[in-house]
Amino acid sequence: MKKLKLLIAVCLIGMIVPTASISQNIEELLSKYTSENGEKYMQPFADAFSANLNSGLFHNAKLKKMGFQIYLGLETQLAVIPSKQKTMTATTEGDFFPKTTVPGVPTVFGSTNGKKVEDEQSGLVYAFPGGLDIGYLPMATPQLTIGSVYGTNLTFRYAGTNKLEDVGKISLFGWGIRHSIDQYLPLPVNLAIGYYNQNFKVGQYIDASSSLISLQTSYSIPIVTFYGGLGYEMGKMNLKYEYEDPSSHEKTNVNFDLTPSNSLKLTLGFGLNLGPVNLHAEYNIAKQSAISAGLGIGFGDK
Amino acid sequence: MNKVKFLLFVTSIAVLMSCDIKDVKLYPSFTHNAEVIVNHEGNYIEFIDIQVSEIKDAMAGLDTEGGITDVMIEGIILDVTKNAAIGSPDNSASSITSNIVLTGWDGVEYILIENLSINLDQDTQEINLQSSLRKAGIKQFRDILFAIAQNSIPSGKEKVGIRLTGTPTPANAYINAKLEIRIKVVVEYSTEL
Repeated sequence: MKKLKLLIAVCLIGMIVPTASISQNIEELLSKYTSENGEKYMQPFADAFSANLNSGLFHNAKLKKMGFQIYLGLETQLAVIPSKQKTMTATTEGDFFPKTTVPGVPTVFGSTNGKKVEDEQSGLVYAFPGGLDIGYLPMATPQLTIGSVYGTNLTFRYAGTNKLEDVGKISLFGWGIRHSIDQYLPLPVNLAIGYYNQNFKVGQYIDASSSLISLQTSYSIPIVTFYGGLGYEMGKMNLKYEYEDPSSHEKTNVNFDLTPSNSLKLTLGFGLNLGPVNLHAEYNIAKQSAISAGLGIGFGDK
Repeated sequence: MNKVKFLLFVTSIAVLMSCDIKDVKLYPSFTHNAEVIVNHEGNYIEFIDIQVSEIKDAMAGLDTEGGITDVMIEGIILDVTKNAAIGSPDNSASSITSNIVLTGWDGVEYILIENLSINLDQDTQEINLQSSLRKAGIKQFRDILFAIAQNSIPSGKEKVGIRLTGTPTPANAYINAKLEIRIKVVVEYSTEL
């Protein structure tokens, strides 16, 4: 098989994926993973990516009933990969017999060392590939929030590239709407409800979408805003690629439909209001937790 | 190719900020086929020679960067096709009992498969040999493959010799069958990512 080297230079508009080069042939990492094992292998990636998408979407719950509010900032997210997301239970495939179910097999985030299973009777060996030994998944997105009309504002996220060689076009678009509840109720805190939807595509390889419904609250004192939220996440991620067997040259279309396993999430955060500058940080507690921090400029947004 | 792009995208997201160089194990594989036609009355002895150059070419075809740290055999399948020798008498054996022996580079013969019973009641069949394999033979085979991978082939060794012997049932029946052995070989590479 032709040696494949690829230089990836990803520098999205506002989506800080650092420019870097990877020149490595890693085509066999997933070569055995064309079915259930593959979905298990990639599931933690879907979980972490979804957790990042649904973090940093708000940093207060204070919406004017009517008046100009705007915030433009950069939101960064970091999904910390728990140890349980680094291994999976997998089953041998292909020509290896007897079929054997093996715990502790690395996922995409797991140990770089693969796991070998040897049949004691025959001496045949099945090797599960390793992972990338990654402890966290970072992400960043630009974000614009603008309002407010009848206690309602809109949030947008967008990042994208032109077609990148060997990867294709990368795009992220998200929108959200939220509505103030405390305008109707005399509450000691601000309260709002929001809905967010985001779509992320990478050429023909990844098509992900995620939605979040969240109940948001905040309480401000001079300079500092404390905020939090309870959210319900929904999403899906489709991963697909074509695998060519190096010896037979047979091509296989591999298609994984993954559902991020996060559902309920609790957000706790605080922000510093330094004139028009807002700096905030939050922790999102869920099956796959994520830390988020953002820096931006806002007017009428405290 | 597309898989590489896909993987590189995933890793470009996942790895870039960590910036660590990691030692990753990769497991590309290839399948080698070797066949013999048994066209014989009564007991048979047949030989298959696997050329070292064929194995080397197959490994080169994997085109994976890094050093080879292990070679494994994941599976061995036997495909049997009855009456494969055209123009010869039809097969009259109802079954054959076969042994397959590997000649190690130390000159010693190692049993790969012992007392494998093959019913010749179908025109074609696929037999997974796992239950008939002998560990010592497989280990010797792995050692030979690893030596080829490491290019540490003993002087004068250009082939891997396999000997097949068998007995038909009923005795002296005519065997007309192609025996094709498919060996799936997995090569472990250690490479930096």
